[in-house]
Amino acid sequence: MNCKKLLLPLLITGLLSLFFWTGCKKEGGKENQNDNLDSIAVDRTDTSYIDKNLDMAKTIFYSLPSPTEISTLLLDNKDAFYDESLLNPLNNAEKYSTDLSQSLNLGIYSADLSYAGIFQQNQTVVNYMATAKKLAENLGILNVFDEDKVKEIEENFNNRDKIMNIISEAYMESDAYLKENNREEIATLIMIGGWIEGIYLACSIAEKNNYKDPKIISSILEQDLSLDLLVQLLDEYKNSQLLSKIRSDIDELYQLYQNIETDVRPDGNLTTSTENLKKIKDTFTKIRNKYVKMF
Amino acid sequence: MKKIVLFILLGIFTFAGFSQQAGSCKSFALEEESRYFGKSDYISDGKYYAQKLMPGDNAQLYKPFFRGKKYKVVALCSGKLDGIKMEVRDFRGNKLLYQSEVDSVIVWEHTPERSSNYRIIVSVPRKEGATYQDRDCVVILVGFKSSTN
Repeated sequence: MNCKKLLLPLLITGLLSLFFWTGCKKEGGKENQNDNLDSIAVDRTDTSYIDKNLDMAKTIFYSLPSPTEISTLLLDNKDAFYDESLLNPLNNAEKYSTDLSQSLNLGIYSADLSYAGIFQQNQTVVNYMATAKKLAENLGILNVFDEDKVKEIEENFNNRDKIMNIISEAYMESDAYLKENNREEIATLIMIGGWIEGIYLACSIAEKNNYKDPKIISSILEQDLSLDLLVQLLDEYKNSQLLSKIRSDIDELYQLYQNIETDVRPDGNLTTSTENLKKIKDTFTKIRNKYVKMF
Repeated sequence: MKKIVLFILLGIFTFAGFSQQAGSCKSFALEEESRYFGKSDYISDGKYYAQKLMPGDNAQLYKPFFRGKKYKVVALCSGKLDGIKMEVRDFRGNKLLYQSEVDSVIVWEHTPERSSNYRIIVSVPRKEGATYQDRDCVVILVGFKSSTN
């Protein structure tokens, strides 16, 4: 009698257990397929070092330079400056209504946030963080860029590195949330938006300085490494409808860099002709403006 | 009524057991990120490279490292894992680091002489009789100094 009473709950519990167990196995299987991607970095001349045949189960992460990393490249240049007119205006944020436009522009606003942070434009940092929070919430990413972070920034207005770490922490929280919830495509779009905006800012500053900063020019030219990585990443996601929408932009940049000849200066920095630098700047600007106006 | 209570309790226990097993490394990664970069002169790259691994598994990170920039890479594991090993190679396959000694935290500071893509491999040594239940978090953190100066 008691056994009969227990039968129904046990049966349902058993089914629930099976459901969750299947979920766990699937997660394990995904690791083996290297599905937990961030982005891809690959050597152009020799890809054999990417050991895909190890018998051990692997998880592979691929990473582009983050908005904070690109922003700090600017700090190495004594002639770098802050120009608020280069940022994506805050009032654009409410016009982004699709996953694609919201993700790309969350990345773009993150890069603007980092750029403002590196030059200690603290009120702009606070304003852009509030906007990033709204976009993140629209994408279902909750509790990042929250009021505690804003308060922490206000308490550390004079400590640039601390502010950059608070921004990085918010960025990591949203990246973690998306990856833990199997939304790698959205995480990838945010990363691409941030990268495009970061290089757009670097190109704009270089142009306004008449391309006289060897370090910033070298940093721009070295992005061929990031592009190799991005192309490989998009190959991994070739069935993604969302990422296919930006594929032609990345291919255009990749082709452009393939045709740029560079030299190494005595100080080790890469250099090229002003004409080539203008081509790079124009292409990044065109793609960036397309994303910013994706209403 | 008793049936319903019993069902709910059994359901909760089952869910708790499995969700813990398949659970997230987010809290561990964020805590460690804050510990290693929150108060240092390095800035975190803000990326989440974390996964539950079992003995015999490895995690690999491919990332561009830029000339002259000062980087700090921290690899860590949590609870059930005895330790990890770390290896770093550049795009030519040159070995830049090989930490063969098993440890729960490995810290590597590095300033590249030339820009290139690096492969960072963090492996969990094999263990006799290890099963899926022995999985736990492995996290890779990357930070950099705000200026090369």
